[in-house]
Amino acid sequence: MAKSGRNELKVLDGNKAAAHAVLLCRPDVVAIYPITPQTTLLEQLCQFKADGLLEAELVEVEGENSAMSVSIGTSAAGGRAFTSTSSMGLAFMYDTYLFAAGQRVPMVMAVANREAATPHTVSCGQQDTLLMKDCGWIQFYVENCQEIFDAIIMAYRLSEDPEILVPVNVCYDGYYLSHLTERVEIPSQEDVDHFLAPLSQSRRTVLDPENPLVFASFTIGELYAEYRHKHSVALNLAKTKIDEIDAEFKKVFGRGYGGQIEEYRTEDADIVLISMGSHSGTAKVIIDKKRDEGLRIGLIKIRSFRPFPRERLTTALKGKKAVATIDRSVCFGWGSGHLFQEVKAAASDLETRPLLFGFIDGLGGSDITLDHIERVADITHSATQGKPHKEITWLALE
Amino acid sequence: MRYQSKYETAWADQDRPLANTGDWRAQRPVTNTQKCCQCGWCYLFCPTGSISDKGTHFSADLDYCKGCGICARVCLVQAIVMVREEKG
Repeated sequence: MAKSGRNELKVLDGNKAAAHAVLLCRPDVVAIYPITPQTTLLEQLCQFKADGLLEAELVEVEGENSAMSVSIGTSAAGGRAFTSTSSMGLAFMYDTYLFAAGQRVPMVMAVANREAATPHTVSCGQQDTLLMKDCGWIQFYVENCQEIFDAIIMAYRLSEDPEILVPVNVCYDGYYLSHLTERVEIPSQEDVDHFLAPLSQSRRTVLDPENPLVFASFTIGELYAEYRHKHSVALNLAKTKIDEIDAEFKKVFGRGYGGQIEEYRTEDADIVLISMGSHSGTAKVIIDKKRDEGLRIGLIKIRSFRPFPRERLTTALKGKKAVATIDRSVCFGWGSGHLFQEVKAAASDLETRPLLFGFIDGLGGSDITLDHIERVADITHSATQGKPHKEITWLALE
Repeated sequence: MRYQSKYETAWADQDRPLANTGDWRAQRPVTNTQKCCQCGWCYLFCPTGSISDKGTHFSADLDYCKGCGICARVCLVQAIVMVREEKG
């Protein structure tokens, strides 16, 4: 499969980049309720519809619960669904969000990450989707506007894969990505059609008046365990699929992200920072700076938080002296971020465990600055030189 | 892995009910087919829609009947009796 169409270059913020990707994926139904900071994504899709570019039916829903319900119905009937939300909107669709996952209806939902109140705010944080990590969805976290665009296209390939059939979130930091503009390459419709073409051959169980079925039937006992097990198997299988789809995407469009994780200068590194989301870009700047100063340091960007890239992460961390996570969320009861907790769990697969530190930063929309990430690198480096440091540090407060 | 369903998740077709909602019944209705006058009164009153016309008499589908006893109570000719379910 070779790229044939021409790229178009645009300057887009993350929400508009998402809308352009959705347009090229040709959904049948789009049902979205506006909420900050996702609203301009809906606005752009409405503009596409008004301009006659978007063929999808746009459903004006009365809330997020309905947005997800419409999307479930669309997917169950065999259609392609897209929706999006943020923060309390996601909380408001909690029961239907669970339903979509358990009923294995493929769809893509973009989430412009925002703190989950209270304290009330509209600013950035990854708390909203990380609260939902165990609902059975696949969750991607991305670094920039181009990656939002590309991840949405790849998300459809993954979600509608007949061996997967799990709904997928593409999560991107509110404002830092949703509202800041970057250069985005838009491939041709022809190339996106080609990339998604294998899905038109796939068969999945759908609602069909000719062959009536009960949808979401009452289930108890061993059969319940069976469906949970099948779902769990699909999530595990998704790990290799994510890597394969990413590799294929790179072949066609020239951009790859490493699949479940992106490794940046980790090969000969003693110290590895682990990030997720927009501050991965900031972290790369510090990695380069510290490398110039002679420090053997690298970065791992977690792209797929669910399924968690346990195997690839432990392979990448083998032999490292120290690891530091940078979290934009709080895992209550652990006193850490969610990423730290998961990395710590995965690190127990290693024979020799590296020193492990968690840094919480960027809450309530505050900047995860170059200075902050440099502190992370310095503290972690000092620890490898025999200067002990506590496990969790709140960078903005200490 | 021992799987029983051909579906990936909770879909069900007419051949095979996914859940037997009559499972926890404490008593079941038994129709005396000689007495049944096929008036359909039990069919109309059954709150779970479990009763159907079998041609010669009416009786309940025990996959769904929850054993409430309304059919026996409303039967005009006392053709239905409730029999205690016993494990065995």
